[in-house]
Amino acid sequence: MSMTGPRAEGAAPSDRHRAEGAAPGLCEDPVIWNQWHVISALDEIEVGAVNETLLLGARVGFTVSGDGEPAAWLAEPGAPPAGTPIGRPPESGELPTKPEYGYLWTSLGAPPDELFALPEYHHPRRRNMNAGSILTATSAPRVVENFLDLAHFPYVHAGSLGLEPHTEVADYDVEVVGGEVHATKCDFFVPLVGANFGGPALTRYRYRVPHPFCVMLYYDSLPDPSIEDVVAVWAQPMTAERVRAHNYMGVIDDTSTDNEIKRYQLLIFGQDKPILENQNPKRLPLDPRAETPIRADKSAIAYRRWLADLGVTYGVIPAAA
Amino acid sequence: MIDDPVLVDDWHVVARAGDVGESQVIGVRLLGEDLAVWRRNGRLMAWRDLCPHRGTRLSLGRVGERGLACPYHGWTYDESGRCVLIPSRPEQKPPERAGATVYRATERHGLIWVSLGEPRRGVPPFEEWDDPSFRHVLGGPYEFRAGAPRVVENFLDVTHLPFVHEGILGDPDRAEVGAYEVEVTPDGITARDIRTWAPDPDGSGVPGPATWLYRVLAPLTAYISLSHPGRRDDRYAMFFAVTPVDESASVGWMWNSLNYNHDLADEDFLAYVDEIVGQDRPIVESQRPELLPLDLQAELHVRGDRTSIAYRRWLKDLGLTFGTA
Repeated sequence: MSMTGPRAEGAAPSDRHRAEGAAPGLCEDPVIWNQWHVISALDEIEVGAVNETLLLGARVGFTVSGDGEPAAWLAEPGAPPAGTPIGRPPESGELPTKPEYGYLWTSLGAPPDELFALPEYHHPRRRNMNAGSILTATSAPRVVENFLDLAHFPYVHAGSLGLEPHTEVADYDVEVVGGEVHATKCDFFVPLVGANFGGPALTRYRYRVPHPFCVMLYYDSLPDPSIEDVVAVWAQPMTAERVRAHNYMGVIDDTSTDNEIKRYQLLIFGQDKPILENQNPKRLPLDPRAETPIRADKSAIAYRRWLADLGVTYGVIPAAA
Repeated sequence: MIDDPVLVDDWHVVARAGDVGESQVIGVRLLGEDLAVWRRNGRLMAWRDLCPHRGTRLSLGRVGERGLACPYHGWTYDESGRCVLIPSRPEQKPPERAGATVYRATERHGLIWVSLGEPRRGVPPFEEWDDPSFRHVLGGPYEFRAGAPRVVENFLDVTHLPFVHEGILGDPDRAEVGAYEVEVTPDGITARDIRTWAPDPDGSGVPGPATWLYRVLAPLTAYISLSHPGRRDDRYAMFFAVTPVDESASVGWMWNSLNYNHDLADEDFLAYVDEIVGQDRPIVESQRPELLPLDLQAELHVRGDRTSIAYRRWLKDLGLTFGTA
């Protein structure tokens, strides 16, 4: 995956695409600029009409045509508002698009050919679903780091993902593999792993961070432990301190309804949201001495170092040189 | 934190005593600093509202047997601010640097006071608080979208009474304020024997001449004692502390203490006070510049403004910069 490179020619956004109220200036971070970023669940796009969102401080319009062809573009000031029927996208300001894993991805810059791999998505038994996109007033890296964190389960998700006095986080493995952060052998006492799980269980998780703002969690599915369930949060950086957190779920579950599965994930994220929105600072500090690191936070430490090594500056407080 | 040494090293009200019960925690804001104020075994603590582990607000946490626990990972801090438990590593001794930032807190006059620095004086005195012949009704918290010095100066202002509080504290046809003396010391200001005429100076509905004594007790705490010619012992004392939340937001707390007129129900007395403050608020919030000018050439003054003039001079001598220009 190409992580650096110049800004794309042609569709370069400027200050006139900047949303009202967004911080002055657009994203100056080429690593983030040239990424694919998720902007919507495909099943939430209004077909044949203008949809609008915010990406890296820029107003982005998007749509999907009647025959399923997506398009995205930089929204000019005074462009027709969301909901306006649209035959074909505007000719100027076109952005690349990639419909993948049930979501629409775009980029303001020159993105790599491929998005990160998620082969599990295509398993025939898997139920892939959009479990809600939640506007959250914090940076994308804070959302990812919170998702990687086990130690908050007994406090923020008491009764669902954790329960006092089962608070101890045993040592686990963290490494950077193929340009991704992987945390494995993460064992934790979990009262209710997913919607179709019965009672408490010592659960083994593994995590993958294949993209600065995207994170996945894997665990053995209940009906068939040879397959893993996948729960993900893909954070759309609307601005450096505001995201839409897209909750993707791909589970093996023959008993729960879609709503039961989604409701569980929404309950969990709804508990995280007030914690995330009250963190200070909102941007993730990358200085290795910031915020009292301890062993249980090994994956967070690795994630911060990985962001620093990539040269990410958006949504973070870079370490002093 | 707003860097004004005069206010950093002073005491400020952040809550009523009853707002923080035993084993409770609340979040407040003072001089641009978010604080967690909590109580355990009767002891009051005021800390920076931030867990040093992940920047979470400690005021969203809970008070348990070992201290205040962060809502995010349960890191627990004892009354001294030291981390005594990291639940994800219960056997590990918490690192030395895992400590809360601790400020001074105390309870006086039914209010919780905090200092973010090294206070050189105690909490301003309020004699009537300990006098059993007085009953006390707290007005506020009154929120003002204005800097605290403007709010305090309005409280000290005599000549607005007939205009802003017409029919209550003054009458435009009888607006004259007699000459009065102002005494300034390093500890504060006293203006004595200010005589006005007021339609209803104390909520009793009885009009008459009123004699006012004003005191500035601290840069943002002031006091008024109202008496009535011919009624020697009847007094209405007001103790007014203004919290500098940040440059443009203030909260006023006003004790209203009477040693007479005990037939007036507390809620009616409070409604009377609320109405008066409600008249002041739009005036104070409309003042431009928002910063109180300490240069006396900057605004026009008349003889009746002697208390305001003394207040501005005194703030300047103290070296106060917050909320002033």
